[in-house]
Amino acid sequence: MNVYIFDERTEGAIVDICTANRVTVLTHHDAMKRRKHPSLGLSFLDQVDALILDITRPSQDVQFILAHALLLQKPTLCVYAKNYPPRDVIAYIKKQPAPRSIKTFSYSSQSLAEGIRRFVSQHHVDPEERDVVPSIKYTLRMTPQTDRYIQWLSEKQHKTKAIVLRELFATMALTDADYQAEQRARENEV
Amino acid sequence: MQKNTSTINLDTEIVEHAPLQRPNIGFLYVPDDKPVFGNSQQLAAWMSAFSELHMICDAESLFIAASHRDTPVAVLDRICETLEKRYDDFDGFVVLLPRQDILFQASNLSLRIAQTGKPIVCTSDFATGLQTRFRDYYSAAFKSEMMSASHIAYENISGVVAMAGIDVVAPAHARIEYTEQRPYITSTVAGTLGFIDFGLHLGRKAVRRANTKPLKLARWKHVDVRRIVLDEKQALNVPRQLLRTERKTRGLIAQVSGVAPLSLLSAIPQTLPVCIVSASGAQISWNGEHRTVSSRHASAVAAQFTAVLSTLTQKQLKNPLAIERAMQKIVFPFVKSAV
Repeated sequence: MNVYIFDERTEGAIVDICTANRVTVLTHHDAMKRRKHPSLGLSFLDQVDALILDITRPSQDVQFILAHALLLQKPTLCVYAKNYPPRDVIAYIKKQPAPRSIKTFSYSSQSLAEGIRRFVSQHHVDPEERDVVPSIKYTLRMTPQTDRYIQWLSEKQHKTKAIVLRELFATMALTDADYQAEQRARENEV
Repeated sequence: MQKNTSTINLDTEIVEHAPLQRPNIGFLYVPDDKPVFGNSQQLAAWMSAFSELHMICDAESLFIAASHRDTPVAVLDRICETLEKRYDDFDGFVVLLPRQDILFQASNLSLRIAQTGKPIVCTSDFATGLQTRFRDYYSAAFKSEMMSASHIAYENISGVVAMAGIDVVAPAHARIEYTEQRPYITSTVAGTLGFIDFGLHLGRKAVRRANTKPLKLARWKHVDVRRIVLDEKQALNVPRQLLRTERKTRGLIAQVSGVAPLSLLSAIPQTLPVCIVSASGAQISWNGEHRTVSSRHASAVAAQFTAVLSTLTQKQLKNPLAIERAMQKIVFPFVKSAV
């Protein structure tokens, strides 16, 4: 999980808590040191899965990032020091219709770690779990002959054609001795 | 190793600061032949619904009452008039230009504005078809770009810049790249002033803000430089009515989508200075002479063509030698002072 952190108050405490929770961190300071932009996605927020922003004293920079997060509904945790809520910023966040992707959290020295851990665990997807989620899009052309067979299988098994194909390949991968041996060798290398 | 956060004192009393001063942005909209917003009320309604933008700045919409039948210089005059009138009211400006004109008019604006201490960010929407474009104005991708443009407009940069996507570039060096997602403006290293990545990263070439520096416009005369837009088919057999220019017309820009055929030049009266902008580059022609200036920055050359003609007096415009001298000034990359 990649998390962007904007923190000018806690002297790196938020970064340390995230690192301890096995999160890859990109800080505002590191991002602003870059001489080249890393990718050409639709938005710079595509680089991360979630954001943690300290908004105790909101600067124009943090408001710019937060406005993008609001627009793109990126999971974001806005933290601020207890008893010092930045009222204007919070009012903007609360104005958004539910379900809101932006959460706010007022912290003290004692509660900060727990608040961040809870946010991270909510949005953290385990790499092994991610491996079995069908997230890669394929566009492929089939012959009418193959299509007829897939259609037949789909009706017979009461499953969509996509599921039929996915299961077919998964079974093939599991039963392919050569492939399995190669995978084991690779894992051992790592 | 996790640092024990309780060892850092996060509970100290925070010194109250003066509330953050909100930047003020002037948002100019120049309509095209099929405008998404037909009047200032429609533009203002879109802006007031754009709540994310209001989170970062106070933006005021400024509708430029221009028609696609106006000459490029007339449209530019209206933009400059608004900038002059409202210059002191804002920290910076975003100019939303028609998609087919963005590079040309942004280059024109950079030549017309002799001095500014504030940023003027030229951008555009790139969706085609009115329905698609209307939807696009409410899409997250377009709104995100407008927020980035507004962010640049209150940052520590000055002068006319072009942006759509990530790069902030000098208009004369800008080019449009078409991707599956959406087109974006980019440039070679020579024209890149900065980029947006969790904030504005400024390069050494970017001129820094100087709020006290007043806006100064270059002295341009009201020279009638016409612009016609042709598709490849039309360019092969140019309809006469398209080339029928008025007596007062002193220059013609023919923008061809695709490659301009050789026959196009012969169809245009030789006495009229012409700039043909096409996929193969910018070709300038006057008194039977032809010259290709730049293959990659044709729109910037067309802007320079407009600029050099606009600095000539009526008497000079009738003098072939003066025209010759003016046309020889067109080079790329251009030197602003030469114009």
